[in-house]
Amino acid sequence: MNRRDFLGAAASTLIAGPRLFETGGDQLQPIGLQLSTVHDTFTRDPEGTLAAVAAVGYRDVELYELYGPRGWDAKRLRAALDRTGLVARAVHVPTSLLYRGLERHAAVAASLGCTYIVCSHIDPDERRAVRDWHELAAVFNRAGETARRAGGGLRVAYHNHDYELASVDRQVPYDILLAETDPSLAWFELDARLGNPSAYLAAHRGRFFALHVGGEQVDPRLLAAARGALVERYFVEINDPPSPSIDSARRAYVALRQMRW
Amino acid sequence: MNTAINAPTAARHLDHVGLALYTLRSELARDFEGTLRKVAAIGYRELDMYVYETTLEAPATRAMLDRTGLVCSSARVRTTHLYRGWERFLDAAATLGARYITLAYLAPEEIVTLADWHELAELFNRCGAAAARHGLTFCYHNHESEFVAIDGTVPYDLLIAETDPGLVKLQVDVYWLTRGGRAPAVELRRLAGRVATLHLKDMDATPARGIATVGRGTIDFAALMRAAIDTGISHWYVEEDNPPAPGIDAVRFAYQYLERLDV
Repeated sequence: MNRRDFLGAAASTLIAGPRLFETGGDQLQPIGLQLSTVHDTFTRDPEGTLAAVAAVGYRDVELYELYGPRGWDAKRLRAALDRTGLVARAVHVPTSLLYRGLERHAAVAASLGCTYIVCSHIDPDERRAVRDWHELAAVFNRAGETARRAGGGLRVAYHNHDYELASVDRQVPYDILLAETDPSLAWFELDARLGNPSAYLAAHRGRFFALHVGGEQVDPRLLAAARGALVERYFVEINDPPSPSIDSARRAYVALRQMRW
Repeated sequence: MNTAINAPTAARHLDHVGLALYTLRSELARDFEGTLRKVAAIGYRELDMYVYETTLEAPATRAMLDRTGLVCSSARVRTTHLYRGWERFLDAAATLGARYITLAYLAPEEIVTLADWHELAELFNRCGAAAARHGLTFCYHNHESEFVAIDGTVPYDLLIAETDPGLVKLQVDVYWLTRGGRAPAVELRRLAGRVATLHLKDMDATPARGIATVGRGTIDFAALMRAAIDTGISHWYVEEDNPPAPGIDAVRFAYQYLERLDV
């Protein structure tokens, strides 16, 4: 959903029911969940966990496994999502998938309903020197080109951690990636818990498709900055929450639903 | 060696045992060189280890190995290095003194279809050729999924058929091979010439067939090591994914068990 669709959806909500009007202000929506937040139960009971996520109120999810839990395939995963009314908007994948077979992975991701395939991790030995980041920027451009050629509307994105924000030889790797990737080929998912996200949002409008938020405490100014930077999606991601993990996912959802900016 | 008719000959023992450093990753994270010294004190001389186990550059790691009297004979890498920076990793592995450069792991998403395995075989051939130019031998380390047929084809067999025997060798993990339904001693003899190194870990006797310390499980290591020696394999590394703490004790037990084994 782009900004225009978002406004359209908000307007139709106003017509359909008075809820937004009553509460006043914009709500952070749609709010999605990165399923890794509930990976402990998702691994054991995927269907039950998806139902619980939907029951909380989430409509969007971000996957952390392209083919679902062990023994599953994309078809089964899509059917399980459809049964609960959840929509997978994006999927996290390891870097290795960007190098080989990406056209096949892109087709699978598109069949799941995703519009973004997100590289979510770079091992320490893949990023020992500044040269690695220059090369990785080229890898993301090539992967973006491959995804575009594959059709299906899938885009390649990169999810940051803290290591991209720490200088290597007086250069910030994240700045290298933003400078050297083609905005028409590579997008970014910004982790709002790290570094200075507002500054990045302001400086690179339109390049961040999603914001990852950590839970109950989110600065409304950051959300306003995200809206201004044309962020399309908001995903809650909590790393290894206490059991039951769905409770943490619920608290974050409730808190974010009540936020205005 | 079967010498039932002749007068009993002296028992044959392994003259060296190696260690896969992965086994002690938590101890190494606390104290790298100190742990290496403990490993050397047990009697281990050879290591199978990632090219970058620490933030140190390869020459500094090599100096540390030299100080502790250990040799890295097999350097491990991840898939991404095959696609980018391979020459740099080959240089680093050669600096460590490695003879083998071993791909340690493929993510499940990388091996979904037979097309993946065909492409990987081709990739391994290319990477093996580059490794050979650096005086290294490329090896592939198996887990269990290689033995689960896709569209009627067993990926491990496909890989062996489609890779160049002169450029791509195998590091056989005897635990995962066993879980994959194959008898290790039989398989080593069948694959003679293709297997360069072994990962030795044991299988417990529970229905879950979990990983056990070498010598505490159900794998017949005497038969296995006889097959290894008979087929010209000379590098093997003890490994246990999650040894009971302290890991160094499990590693010592495995060493002493293998040292006494009559092969």
